[in-house]
Amino acid sequence: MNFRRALRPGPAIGLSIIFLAASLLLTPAVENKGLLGDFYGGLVALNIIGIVIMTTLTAINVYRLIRQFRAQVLGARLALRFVVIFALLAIIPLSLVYYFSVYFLSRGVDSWFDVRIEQALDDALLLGQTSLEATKTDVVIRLQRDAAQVAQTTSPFGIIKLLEDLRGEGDFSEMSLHSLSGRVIASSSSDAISLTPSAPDDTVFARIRQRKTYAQVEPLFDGGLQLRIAVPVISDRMGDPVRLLQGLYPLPLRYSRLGESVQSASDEYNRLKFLRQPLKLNFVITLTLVTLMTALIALWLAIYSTRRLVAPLRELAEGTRAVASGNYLKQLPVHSGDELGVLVSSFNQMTNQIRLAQEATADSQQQTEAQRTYLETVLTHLSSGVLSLAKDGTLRTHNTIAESILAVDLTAFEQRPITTLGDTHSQLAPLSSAITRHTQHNDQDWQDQIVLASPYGRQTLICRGTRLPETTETLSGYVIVFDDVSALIRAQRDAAWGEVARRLAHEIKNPLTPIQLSAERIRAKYLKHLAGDDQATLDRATRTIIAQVDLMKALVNAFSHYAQPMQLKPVTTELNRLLQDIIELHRQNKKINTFELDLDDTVPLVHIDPAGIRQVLNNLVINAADAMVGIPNGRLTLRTHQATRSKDRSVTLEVRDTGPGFPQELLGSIFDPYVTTKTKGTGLGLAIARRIIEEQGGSIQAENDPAGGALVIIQLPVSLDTKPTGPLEGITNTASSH
Amino acid sequence: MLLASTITTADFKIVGGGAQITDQHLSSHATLDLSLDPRSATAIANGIPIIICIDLELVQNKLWPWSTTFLEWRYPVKLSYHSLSRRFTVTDQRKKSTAVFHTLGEALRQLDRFSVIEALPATIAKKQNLVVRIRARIDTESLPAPLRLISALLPPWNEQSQWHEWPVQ
Repeated sequence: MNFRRALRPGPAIGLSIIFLAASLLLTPAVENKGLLGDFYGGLVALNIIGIVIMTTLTAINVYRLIRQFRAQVLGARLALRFVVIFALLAIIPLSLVYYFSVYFLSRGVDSWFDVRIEQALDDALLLGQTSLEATKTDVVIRLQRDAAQVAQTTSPFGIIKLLEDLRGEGDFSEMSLHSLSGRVIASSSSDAISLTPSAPDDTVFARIRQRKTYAQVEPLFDGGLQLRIAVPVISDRMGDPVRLLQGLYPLPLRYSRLGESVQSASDEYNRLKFLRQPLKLNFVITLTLVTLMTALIALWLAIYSTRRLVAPLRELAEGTRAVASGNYLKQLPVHSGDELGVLVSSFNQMTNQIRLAQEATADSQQQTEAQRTYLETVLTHLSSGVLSLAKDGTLRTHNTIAESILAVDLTAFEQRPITTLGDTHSQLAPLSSAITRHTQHNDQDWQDQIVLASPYGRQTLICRGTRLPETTETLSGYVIVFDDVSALIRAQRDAAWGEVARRLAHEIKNPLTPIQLSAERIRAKYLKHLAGDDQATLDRATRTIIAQVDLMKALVNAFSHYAQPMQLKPVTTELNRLLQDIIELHRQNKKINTFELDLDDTVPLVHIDPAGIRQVLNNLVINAADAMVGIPNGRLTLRTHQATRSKDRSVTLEVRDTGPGFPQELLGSIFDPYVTTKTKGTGLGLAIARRIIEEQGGSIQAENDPAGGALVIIQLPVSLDTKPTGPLEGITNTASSH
Repeated sequence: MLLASTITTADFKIVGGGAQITDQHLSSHATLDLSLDPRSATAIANGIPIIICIDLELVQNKLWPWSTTFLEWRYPVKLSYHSLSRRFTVTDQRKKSTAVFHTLGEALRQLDRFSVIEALPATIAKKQNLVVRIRARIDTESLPAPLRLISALLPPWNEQSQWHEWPVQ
């Protein structure tokens, strides 16, 4: 809806003026002034129509206002309040004026009438009538005298002549003689063009038949009064019929005017007296219509003015609400140049300024956000863990790599002192201690190598710290960057061990064959020439040499094997089936009382070298069997399931025994070469196993089961293929214990 | 004064009548039965003249429901009371004459016989199926202003007879 169009003043003011004019015209109309008096009824009808229209318009507007008020439309309450105030200001005085107007009008009309005036008018009228009676009596006497003369005259021409003379002498306007049958016998008139005399009516004849006189004052059509006098004409002669002599005597103009004046005043008074109640009713109706029309127009104009007044306020309130809700583009139309217009203009300027400031802030925030996102991206993709600390040592932020390296959820430690990290996770205590120490000393730049004893092995971190410049309180603090160099160190160590093994194999293996050959030659050449204890001693010595050389050869071969690069051929393999095959080979192992397979059928295919895995598992099974010697009901459990520790998609294989477990002091280095708990072991079995697993992209960890026994956890990569591609048959058993 | 002794209620009736066209002249006559309400009689006695208007129409009946009105005449007669002479008067504006009566009843009886002769245009005088309609009514427009609004709404001031019609011979 076009709100402004609804508030255009033209139709409203035009309609109001028309109806107001119609109601004002009632006043002269009720006084019967000219044409307005003739249209009084029409004006009343027009006013009633106007009142109906104005009532309807007002009712519609009030209804809409109340509906808006109930709907809690903005500005409706204020508009309703204004309308009520305006209406009261208009209607209360109008009602008072109406009441007193009706009262005084009634009293005013009543005051027109007075008993004395009425009596005076009646007396004046009576006086006029009496005066007329006197004149009438005089004229009757004269006409009776004339009738006597007429009675004496017998000649028709004489009668006409006599009537002519008598009329002139008596100042009659007409004199006529009639028979009682109504026939005109003779007449005389002052009107030359009048052919027939004025005929007396039946009443006159009836009076004459009774030998009585008829005398009556009559008003004339053109005004004035005349006396109609009729007397019987009775002749002395026997046989003459009674005739009727009528004389029309115009009253003197002075008499007539006085009489008319008295009568007019009396009639006017009587007319007003009779019309008193209708007059009051008309005045009250007129006053009521005018009052009603005025009140309705005032009420309607009050509503109209209120709506015009409230409209910019409503728009202003809506604009304010829009700004409060964050819409700074809101601009209000300026419809006037008054104070409200100035207010709306100021509001528009304000929102414009806010919008500009908001845009500047948004740009700044956007830039800041972009920089922060860029920094987060950089930190996220760093291979180093990053921690930022407040000046008081509180952890402020971290990157995801830091969580990955430390294997803890650092979010839980944000806004908490870094020492709580070590308190909560004991393996991280060296890290938190080192950081705390440097921050307490307020070191500018520092670097430490920190070794963490995690449950999954020893973890070496290179940790560097930097104190941030103290520009602001919020930006000051420390940045800690650390790298997990465990793999690097392990690789370096493995390479060193490989080099050692290779050199050892090369340097030791070469002399072993001549030693062995020499020992065999000594044995073959001299054993048969000796006897007794010498023979036995030589025999024992050469055997020992040969056996130890064999042993050293095996040891050297093992080193050589460890030093050689792995020749692995990963294929898509069904792990559960491979495990079942491997276990079948060990069913006869008396050291293991129970084999338990807890294999998840839903695990996906893995991408591994079956021979390598077979070697790894053979080593693990043999190690477990050796560990469970002397332990009743030794049980080996193989379990597969979807990986839960690693974020990568992998399959977890757990090998668990019920032996004594790993010595705690060896847990961090159990996969290092020459680390073994066996008296005759080479200490290379688990080292080789780790190489096989890691060469295939997997990982291996060793820990002690809280329920007792050793637990080796292997993560194997999942294959992208959906069908096995590597045959399990024909794989040779390369199990060997080191 | 002698108000109409026979007047009880207002009632305007057309008792009978007739019409004929002779030599392009319409001759109509009707017998009326007019009586006034006591309030109207009192108003006359208090100096308020009442004009009784006799409306005459010449129409042509046709097959369709409505008819065509060719000519219409209005004959006002003023009833008033002359207080100086204590007589009721009947003033015929058309005849320019004033008649005087002792009672209002006599004055009304004066109006019982209505006759009129009007000249007609030749084109109308030759038409067939002509009908004369007549009615008598109080001319409320001539009443004083205070009575005019009331007369439009309330009896007896808006008294009028039914239309009475008869074919033109």
